[in-house]
Amino acid sequence: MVYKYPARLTRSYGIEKTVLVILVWGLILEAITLLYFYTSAQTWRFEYQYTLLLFAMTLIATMILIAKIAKRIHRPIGIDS
Amino acid sequence: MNPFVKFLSRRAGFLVLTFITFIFIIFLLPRAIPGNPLSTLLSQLFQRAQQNPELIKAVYRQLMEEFGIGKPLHVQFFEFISRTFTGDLGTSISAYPRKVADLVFSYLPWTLGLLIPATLTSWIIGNLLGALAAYKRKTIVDNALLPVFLTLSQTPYYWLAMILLFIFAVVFKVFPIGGAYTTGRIPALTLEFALDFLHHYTLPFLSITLSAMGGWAIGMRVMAIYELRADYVSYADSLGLPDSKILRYVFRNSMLPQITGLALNFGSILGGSLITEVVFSYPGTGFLIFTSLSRLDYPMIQGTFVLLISTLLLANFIVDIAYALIDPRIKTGYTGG
Repeated sequence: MVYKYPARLTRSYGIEKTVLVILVWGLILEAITLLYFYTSAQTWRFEYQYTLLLFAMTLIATMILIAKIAKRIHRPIGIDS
Repeated sequence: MNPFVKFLSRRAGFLVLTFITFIFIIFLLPRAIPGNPLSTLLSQLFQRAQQNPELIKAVYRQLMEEFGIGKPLHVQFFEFISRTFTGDLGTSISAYPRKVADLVFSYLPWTLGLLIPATLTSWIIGNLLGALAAYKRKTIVDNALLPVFLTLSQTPYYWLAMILLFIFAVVFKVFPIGGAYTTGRIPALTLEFALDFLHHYTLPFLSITLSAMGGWAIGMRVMAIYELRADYVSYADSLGLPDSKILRYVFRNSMLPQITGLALNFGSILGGSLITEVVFSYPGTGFLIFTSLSRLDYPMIQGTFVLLISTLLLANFIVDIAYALIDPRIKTGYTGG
Protein backbone atom coordinates (compact mmCIF):
# COMPACT_ATOMS: atom_id res chain seq x y z
CA MET A 1 0.00 0.00 0.00
CA VAL A 2 1.53 3.31 -1.09
CA TYR A 3 0.47 6.82 -0.17
CA LYS A 4 -0.25 8.87 -3.35
CA TYR A 5 -0.02 12.52 -2.37
CA PRO A 6 3.64 13.47 -3.12
CA ALA A 7 3.64 11.93 -6.62
CA ARG A 8 0.56 13.94 -7.50
CA LEU A 9 2.24 17.28 -6.95
CA THR A 10 5.74 16.60 -8.21
CA ARG A 11 6.50 13.82 -10.67
CA SER A 12 3.23 13.46 -12.54
CA TYR A 13 2.89 17.24 -12.62
CA GLY A 14 6.29 17.62 -14.25
CA ILE A 15 5.81 14.88 -16.84
CA GLU A 16 2.45 16.17 -17.92
CA LYS A 17 3.48 19.79 -17.88
CA THR A 18 6.42 19.35 -20.25
CA VAL A 19 4.42 17.27 -22.70
CA LEU A 20 1.55 19.74 -22.42
CA VAL A 21 3.86 22.68 -23.21
CA ILE A 22 5.02 20.95 -26.41
CA LEU A 23 1.43 20.17 -27.42
CA VAL A 24 0.18 23.70 -26.63
CA TRP A 25 3.14 25.15 -28.53
CA GLY A 26 2.14 23.08 -31.56
CA LEU A 27 -1.48 24.05 -31.10
CA ILE A 28 -0.68 27.80 -31.04
CA LEU A 29 1.52 27.58 -34.14
CA GLU A 30 -1.08 25.52 -35.98
CA ALA A 31 -3.83 27.97 -35.01
CA ILE A 32 -1.76 30.95 -36.22
CA THR A 33 -0.98 29.14 -39.49
CA LEU A 34 -4.65 28.31 -40.06
CA LEU A 35 -5.63 31.88 -39.28
CA TYR A 36 -3.04 33.22 -41.73
CA PHE A 37 -4.18 30.96 -44.56
CA TYR A 38 -7.83 31.75 -43.81
CA THR A 39 -7.40 35.54 -43.70
CA SER A 40 -5.25 35.58 -46.84
CA ALA A 41 -7.84 33.43 -48.69
CA GLN A 42 -5.42 30.56 -49.28
CA THR A 43 -7.61 27.77 -47.91
CA TRP A 44 -7.23 25.88 -51.19
CA ARG A 45 -3.57 25.17 -50.39
CA PHE A 46 -2.47 21.70 -49.24
CA GLU A 47 -0.54 23.25 -46.34
CA TYR A 48 -3.85 24.58 -44.97
CA GLN A 49 -5.50 21.14 -45.12
CA TYR A 50 -2.42 19.49 -43.64
CA THR A 51 -2.33 22.01 -40.77
CA LEU A 52 -6.05 21.42 -40.19
CA LEU A 53 -5.33 17.70 -39.81
CA LEU A 54 -2.37 18.36 -37.49
CA PHE A 55 -4.48 20.81 -35.46
CA ALA A 56 -7.22 18.21 -34.96
CA MET A 57 -4.68 15.58 -33.88
CA THR A 58 -2.85 17.94 -31.50
CA LEU A 59 -6.16 19.17 -30.06
CA ILE A 60 -7.31 15.61 -29.34
CA ALA A 61 -3.97 14.75 -27.69
CA THR A 62 -4.12 17.94 -25.59
CA MET A 63 -7.73 17.29 -24.52
CA ILE A 64 -6.89 13.72 -23.49
CA LEU A 65 -3.92 14.94 -21.45
CA ILE A 66 -5.93 17.72 -19.77
CA ALA A 67 -8.75 15.28 -18.97
CA LYS A 68 -6.16 12.93 -17.44
CA ILE A 69 -4.70 15.74 -15.33
CA ALA A 70 -8.15 16.93 -14.18
CA LYS A 71 -9.16 13.36 -13.30
CA ARG A 72 -6.01 12.86 -11.25
CA ILE A 73 -6.34 16.18 -9.44
CA HIS A 74 -10.00 15.73 -8.54
CA ARG A 75 -9.54 12.14 -7.37
CA PRO A 76 -9.84 11.99 -3.56
CA ILE A 77 -6.51 11.67 -1.77
CA GLY A 78 -6.25 8.19 -0.41
CA ILE A 79 -4.47 4.91 -0.38
CA ASP A 80 -3.40 3.18 -3.59
CA SER A 81 -4.00 -0.53 -3.29
CA MET B 1 -3.50 42.35 -4.24
CA ASN B 2 -5.36 39.17 -5.13
CA PRO B 3 -2.80 36.30 -4.99
CA PHE B 4 -3.88 35.00 -8.39
CA VAL B 5 -3.46 38.43 -10.00
CA LYS B 6 -0.06 38.69 -8.32
CA PHE B 7 0.87 35.27 -9.71
CA LEU B 8 -0.37 36.25 -13.18
CA SER B 9 1.53 39.54 -13.24
CA ARG B 10 4.73 37.86 -12.05
CA ARG B 11 4.51 35.24 -14.78
CA ALA B 12 3.65 37.90 -17.38
CA GLY B 13 6.61 39.99 -16.22
CA PHE B 14 9.00 37.07 -16.70
CA LEU B 15 7.47 36.39 -20.11
CA VAL B 16 7.96 39.97 -21.33
CA LEU B 17 11.52 40.13 -19.95
CA THR B 18 12.51 36.85 -21.64
CA PHE B 19 10.90 37.95 -24.88
CA ILE B 20 12.74 41.31 -24.94
CA THR B 21 16.08 39.59 -24.21
CA PHE B 22 15.40 37.13 -27.01
CA ILE B 23 14.43 39.93 -29.44
CA PHE B 24 17.68 41.73 -28.64
CA ILE B 25 19.75 38.58 -29.32
CA ILE B 26 17.93 37.63 -32.52
CA PHE B 27 18.37 41.19 -33.82
CA LEU B 28 22.12 41.31 -33.16
CA LEU B 29 23.23 37.79 -34.15
CA PRO B 30 22.42 37.88 -37.90
CA ARG B 31 24.04 41.33 -38.15
CA ALA B 32 27.27 39.91 -36.70
CA ILE B 33 27.71 37.87 -39.89
CA PRO B 34 29.90 39.83 -42.32
CA GLY B 35 28.48 40.75 -45.73
CA ASN B 36 25.79 42.80 -47.42
CA PRO B 37 22.41 41.04 -47.50
CA LEU B 38 21.42 42.97 -50.62
CA SER B 39 24.42 41.80 -52.69
CA THR B 40 22.70 38.66 -54.09
CA LEU B 41 19.56 40.59 -54.92
CA LEU B 42 21.58 43.34 -56.60
CA SER B 43 23.71 40.91 -58.64
CA GLN B 44 20.48 39.38 -60.00
CA LEU B 45 19.24 42.85 -60.80
CA PHE B 46 22.54 43.81 -62.42
CA GLN B 47 22.31 40.85 -64.83
CA ARG B 48 18.86 42.01 -65.93
CA ALA B 49 19.54 45.74 -66.23
CA GLN B 50 23.20 46.09 -67.23
CA GLN B 51 22.37 48.79 -69.77
CA ASN B 52 20.87 51.08 -67.18
CA PRO B 53 23.21 51.74 -64.22
CA GLU B 54 21.07 54.66 -63.03
CA LEU B 55 18.12 52.32 -62.58
CA ILE B 56 20.28 49.94 -60.52
CA LYS B 57 21.41 52.82 -58.27
CA ALA B 58 17.84 53.97 -57.78
CA VAL B 59 16.65 50.46 -56.95
CA TYR B 60 19.58 49.99 -54.56
CA ARG B 61 18.67 53.21 -52.70
CA GLN B 62 15.02 52.13 -52.55
CA LEU B 63 15.96 48.68 -51.18
CA MET B 64 18.34 50.16 -48.62
CA GLU B 65 15.50 52.43 -47.48
CA GLU B 66 12.93 49.62 -47.45
CA PHE B 67 15.07 47.21 -45.43
CA GLY B 68 16.66 50.01 -43.36
CA ILE B 69 20.11 48.43 -43.73
CA GLY B 70 22.01 51.72 -44.02
CA LYS B 71 20.39 53.20 -40.90
CA PRO B 72 22.12 53.25 -37.47
CA LEU B 73 21.77 50.00 -35.52
CA HIS B 74 19.59 51.46 -32.77
CA VAL B 75 17.14 52.89 -35.35
CA GLN B 76 16.96 49.48 -37.05
CA PHE B 77 16.38 47.85 -33.67
CA PHE B 78 13.48 50.10 -32.71
CA GLU B 79 11.93 49.71 -36.16
CA PHE B 80 12.26 45.94 -35.82
CA ILE B 81 10.65 46.00 -32.34
CA SER B 82 7.74 48.20 -33.45
CA ARG B 83 7.12 45.97 -36.49
CA THR B 84 7.34 42.78 -34.40
CA PHE B 85 4.78 44.01 -31.87
CA THR B 86 2.36 44.88 -34.66
CA GLY B 87 2.75 41.38 -36.12
CA ASP B 88 4.59 42.50 -39.27
CA LEU B 89 7.47 40.12 -39.99
CA GLY B 90 8.62 42.18 -42.98
CA THR B 91 9.65 41.33 -46.55
CA SER B 92 12.14 38.63 -47.48
CA ILE B 93 15.39 39.78 -49.10
CA SER B 94 16.25 36.49 -50.84
CA ALA B 95 12.69 35.89 -52.10
CA TYR B 96 11.92 39.58 -52.71
CA PRO B 97 9.13 40.82 -52.88
CA ARG B 98 7.44 37.92 -51.02
CA LYS B 99 6.39 38.51 -47.41
CA VAL B 100 8.23 36.65 -44.65
CA ALA B 101 4.92 35.53 -43.11
CA ASP B 102 3.80 33.98 -46.39
CA LEU B 103 7.00 31.93 -46.66
CA VAL B 104 7.17 30.92 -42.98
CA PHE B 105 3.56 29.73 -42.90
CA SER B 106 4.11 27.71 -46.08
CA TYR B 107 7.03 25.86 -44.50
CA LEU B 108 5.82 25.65 -40.89
CA PRO B 109 3.22 22.83 -41.22
CA TRP B 110 5.91 20.45 -42.54
CA THR B 111 8.12 21.14 -39.51
CA LEU B 112 5.28 20.76 -37.01
CA GLY B 113 4.20 17.47 -38.57
CA LEU B 114 7.74 16.15 -38.19
CA LEU B 115 9.10 17.73 -35.03
CA ILE B 116 6.35 17.19 -32.44
CA PRO B 117 5.69 13.46 -33.10
CA ALA B 118 9.43 12.72 -33.38
CA THR B 119 10.28 14.56 -30.12
CA LEU B 120 7.55 12.87 -28.10
CA THR B 121 8.27 9.43 -29.61
CA SER B 122 11.99 9.66 -28.88
CA TRP B 123 11.31 10.77 -25.31
CA ILE B 124 8.82 7.97 -24.58
CA ILE B 125 10.78 5.14 -26.28
CA GLY B 126 14.12 6.37 -24.90
CA ASN B 127 12.84 6.41 -21.33
CA LEU B 128 11.16 3.01 -21.60
CA LEU B 129 14.25 1.37 -23.12
CA GLY B 130 16.49 3.04 -20.53
CA ALA B 131 14.35 1.68 -17.70
CA LEU B 132 14.37 -1.77 -19.31
CA ALA B 133 18.18 -1.71 -19.63
CA ALA B 134 18.50 -0.74 -15.95
CA TYR B 135 16.10 -3.49 -14.85
CA LYS B 136 17.94 -6.08 -16.97
CA ARG B 137 21.35 -4.80 -15.88
CA LYS B 138 24.31 -7.11 -16.52
CA THR B 139 22.22 -9.30 -18.81
CA ILE B 140 22.40 -9.67 -22.58
CA VAL B 141 19.62 -7.07 -22.97
CA ASP B 142 21.59 -4.36 -21.19
CA ASN B 143 24.84 -5.38 -22.87
CA ALA B 144 23.20 -5.08 -26.26
CA LEU B 145 21.30 -1.84 -25.58
CA LEU B 146 23.98 0.19 -23.79
CA PRO B 147 26.49 0.47 -26.69
CA VAL B 148 23.61 1.43 -28.99
CA PHE B 149 22.46 4.16 -26.58
CA LEU B 150 26.01 5.47 -26.15
CA THR B 151 26.62 5.59 -29.89
CA LEU B 152 23.28 7.27 -30.60
CA SER B 153 23.68 9.83 -27.81
CA GLN B 154 27.06 10.93 -29.16
CA THR B 155 26.02 11.03 -32.80
CA PRO B 156 25.19 14.51 -34.15
CA TYR B 157 21.79 14.85 -35.80
CA TYR B 158 23.15 15.68 -39.23
CA TRP B 159 25.66 12.80 -39.13
CA LEU B 160 23.03 10.18 -38.33
CA ALA B 161 20.78 11.73 -40.97
CA MET B 162 23.55 11.38 -43.58
CA ILE B 163 24.29 7.77 -42.54
CA LEU B 164 20.60 6.81 -42.79
CA LEU B 165 20.35 8.63 -46.10
CA PHE B 166 23.39 6.82 -47.47
CA ILE B 167 22.33 3.33 -46.30
CA PHE B 168 18.58 3.41 -46.99
CA ALA B 169 18.35 5.85 -49.88
CA VAL B 170 21.62 5.50 -51.78
CA VAL B 171 22.73 1.88 -51.17
CA PHE B 172 19.46 -0.03 -50.69
CA LYS B 173 17.19 2.53 -52.39
CA VAL B 174 14.35 1.72 -49.95
CA PHE B 175 13.53 5.36 -49.24
CA PRO B 176 13.76 8.51 -51.37
CA ILE B 177 16.79 10.79 -51.14
CA GLY B 178 14.92 13.93 -50.06
CA GLY B 179 11.87 16.13 -50.14
CA ALA B 180 8.47 15.72 -48.52
CA TYR B 181 6.85 14.10 -51.57
CA THR B 182 7.79 13.02 -55.08
CA THR B 183 8.73 15.92 -57.37
CA GLY B 184 5.92 16.70 -59.78
CA ARG B 185 3.21 15.21 -57.61
CA ILE B 186 0.47 17.64 -56.60
CA PRO B 187 -0.15 17.60 -52.81
CA ALA B 188 -3.69 16.49 -51.96
CA LEU B 189 -5.54 14.66 -49.20
CA THR B 190 -5.63 11.33 -51.03
CA LEU B 191 -4.43 7.87 -50.01
CA GLU B 192 -1.91 7.82 -52.83
CA PHE B 193 -0.35 11.10 -51.70
CA ALA B 194 -0.47 10.05 -48.02
CA LEU B 195 1.54 6.89 -48.82
CA ASP B 196 4.03 8.89 -50.86
CA PHE B 197 4.30 11.43 -48.03
CA LEU B 198 4.89 8.67 -45.42
CA HIS B 199 7.54 7.14 -47.66
CA HIS B 200 9.41 10.47 -47.62
CA TYR B 201 8.60 11.11 -43.94
CA THR B 202 10.14 7.89 -42.54
CA LEU B 203 13.85 8.72 -42.79
CA PRO B 204 13.71 12.27 -41.31
CA PHE B 205 11.41 10.99 -38.55
CA LEU B 206 13.74 8.06 -37.74
CA SER B 207 16.75 10.34 -37.83
CA ILE B 208 15.36 12.79 -35.25
CA THR B 209 13.85 10.03 -33.08
CA LEU B 210 17.02 7.89 -32.96
CA SER B 211 19.37 10.86 -32.35
CA ALA B 212 17.35 12.14 -29.41
CA MET B 213 16.47 8.69 -28.05
CA GLY B 214 20.03 7.69 -27.07
CA GLY B 215 20.43 10.59 -24.63
CA TRP B 216 17.08 9.94 -22.94
CA ALA B 217 17.83 6.21 -22.60
CA ILE B 218 21.26 6.80 -21.04
CA GLY B 219 19.86 9.31 -18.55
CA MET B 220 16.95 7.06 -17.65
CA ARG B 221 19.19 4.01 -17.25
CA VAL B 222 21.49 5.80 -14.80
CA MET B 223 18.60 7.18 -12.76
CA ALA B 224 16.75 3.85 -12.70
CA ILE B 225 19.89 1.97 -11.54
CA TYR B 226 20.25 4.51 -8.74
CA GLU B 227 16.59 4.11 -7.78
CA LEU B 228 16.74 0.29 -7.89
CA ARG B 229 19.36 0.45 -5.10
CA ALA B 230 17.09 2.56 -2.87
CA ASP B 231 15.78 1.20 0.43
CA TYR B 232 12.13 1.45 -0.58
CA VAL B 233 12.76 -0.99 -3.45
CA SER B 234 14.27 -3.60 -1.08
CA TYR B 235 11.38 -2.99 1.34
CA ALA B 236 8.74 -3.34 -1.39
CA ASP B 237 10.49 -6.46 -2.65
CA SER B 238 10.57 -8.00 0.83
CA LEU B 239 6.83 -7.28 1.17
CA GLY B 240 6.31 -9.38 -1.92
CA LEU B 241 5.16 -6.64 -4.31
CA PRO B 242 5.22 -7.80 -7.93
CA ASP B 243 8.15 -6.61 -10.10
CA SER B 244 5.82 -4.66 -12.40
CA LYS B 245 4.53 -2.62 -9.45
CA ILE B 246 8.03 -1.89 -8.13
CA LEU B 247 9.21 -0.94 -11.60
CA ARG B 248 6.33 1.50 -11.95
CA TYR B 249 7.45 3.40 -8.85
CA VAL B 250 11.11 3.22 -9.89
CA PHE B 251 10.17 4.55 -13.32
CA ARG B 252 8.18 7.43 -11.86
CA ASN B 253 10.94 8.40 -9.43
CA SER B 254 13.58 8.28 -12.16
CA MET B 255 11.50 10.45 -14.48
CA LEU B 256 11.98 13.73 -12.62
CA PRO B 257 15.45 14.67 -14.02
CA GLN B 258 14.31 13.46 -17.44
CA ILE B 259 11.40 15.91 -17.38
CA THR B 260 13.71 18.80 -16.58
CA GLY B 261 15.95 17.48 -19.36
CA LEU B 262 13.13 17.53 -21.90
CA ALA B 263 12.27 21.11 -21.01
CA LEU B 264 15.93 22.22 -21.17
CA ASN B 265 16.84 20.21 -24.26
CA PHE B 266 13.83 21.20 -26.32
CA GLY B 267 15.86 24.01 -27.86
CA SER B 268 18.64 21.67 -28.98
CA ILE B 269 16.09 19.12 -30.24
CA LEU B 270 14.49 21.92 -32.24
CA GLY B 271 17.89 22.95 -33.62
CA GLY B 272 18.83 19.35 -34.40
CA SER B 273 15.61 18.67 -36.23
CA LEU B 274 16.07 21.84 -38.23
CA ILE B 275 19.48 20.56 -39.40
CA THR B 276 17.90 17.19 -40.25
CA GLU B 277 15.51 19.02 -42.57
CA VAL B 278 18.48 20.48 -44.41
CA VAL B 279 20.06 17.03 -44.93
CA PHE B 280 16.81 15.55 -46.26
CA SER B 281 15.83 18.71 -48.19
CA TYR B 282 12.60 18.56 -46.21
CA PRO B 283 10.60 21.76 -46.89
CA GLY B 284 10.32 22.85 -43.25
CA THR B 285 11.41 25.92 -41.31
CA GLY B 286 14.90 24.42 -40.76
CA PHE B 287 15.44 24.36 -44.50
CA LEU B 288 14.10 27.92 -44.70
CA ILE B 289 16.40 29.16 -41.91
CA PHE B 290 19.42 27.50 -43.53
CA THR B 291 18.67 29.14 -46.89
CA SER B 292 18.07 32.49 -45.18
CA LEU B 293 21.34 32.28 -43.23
CA SER B 294 23.37 31.48 -46.34
CA ARG B 295 21.83 34.51 -48.10
CA LEU B 296 21.91 36.82 -45.04
CA ASP B 297 18.16 37.31 -45.23
CA TYR B 298 17.78 39.24 -41.92
CA PRO B 299 13.98 39.63 -41.99
CA MET B 300 13.48 35.93 -42.72
CA ILE B 301 15.88 34.75 -39.97
CA GLN B 302 14.32 37.13 -37.45
CA GLY B 303 10.75 36.39 -38.50
CA THR B 304 11.14 32.60 -38.27
CA PHE B 305 12.80 32.71 -34.86
CA VAL B 306 10.39 35.31 -33.49
CA LEU B 307 7.45 33.10 -34.43
CA LEU B 308 8.97 29.87 -33.07
CA ILE B 309 10.31 31.28 -29.80
CA SER B 310 7.50 33.71 -28.90
CA THR B 311 4.92 30.93 -29.30
CA LEU B 312 7.04 28.61 -27.14
CA LEU B 313 7.14 31.28 -24.40
CA LEU B 314 3.40 31.79 -24.77
CA ALA B 315 2.77 28.03 -24.51
CA ASN B 316 4.75 27.92 -21.25
CA PHE B 317 2.73 30.85 -19.92
CA ILE B 318 -0.63 29.32 -20.91
CA VAL B 319 0.23 25.96 -19.33
CA ASP B 320 1.32 27.67 -16.10
CA ILE B 321 -1.97 29.57 -15.94
CA ALA B 322 -4.00 26.48 -16.86
CA TYR B 323 -2.34 24.49 -14.11
CA ALA B 324 -2.99 27.24 -11.59
CA LEU B 325 -6.65 27.31 -12.60
CA ILE B 326 -7.07 23.53 -12.52
CA ASP B 327 -5.18 22.92 -9.30
CA PRO B 328 -5.44 25.55 -6.54
CA ARG B 329 -2.51 23.96 -4.68
CA ILE B 330 -0.13 24.85 -7.53
CA LYS B 331 -1.38 28.45 -7.41
CA THR B 332 -0.85 28.51 -3.64
CA GLY B 333 2.65 27.13 -4.16
CA TYR B 334 3.52 29.85 -6.68
CA THR B 335 2.06 32.71 -4.69
CA GLY B 336 3.44 31.43 -1.42
CA GLY B 337 -0.01 31.83 0.16
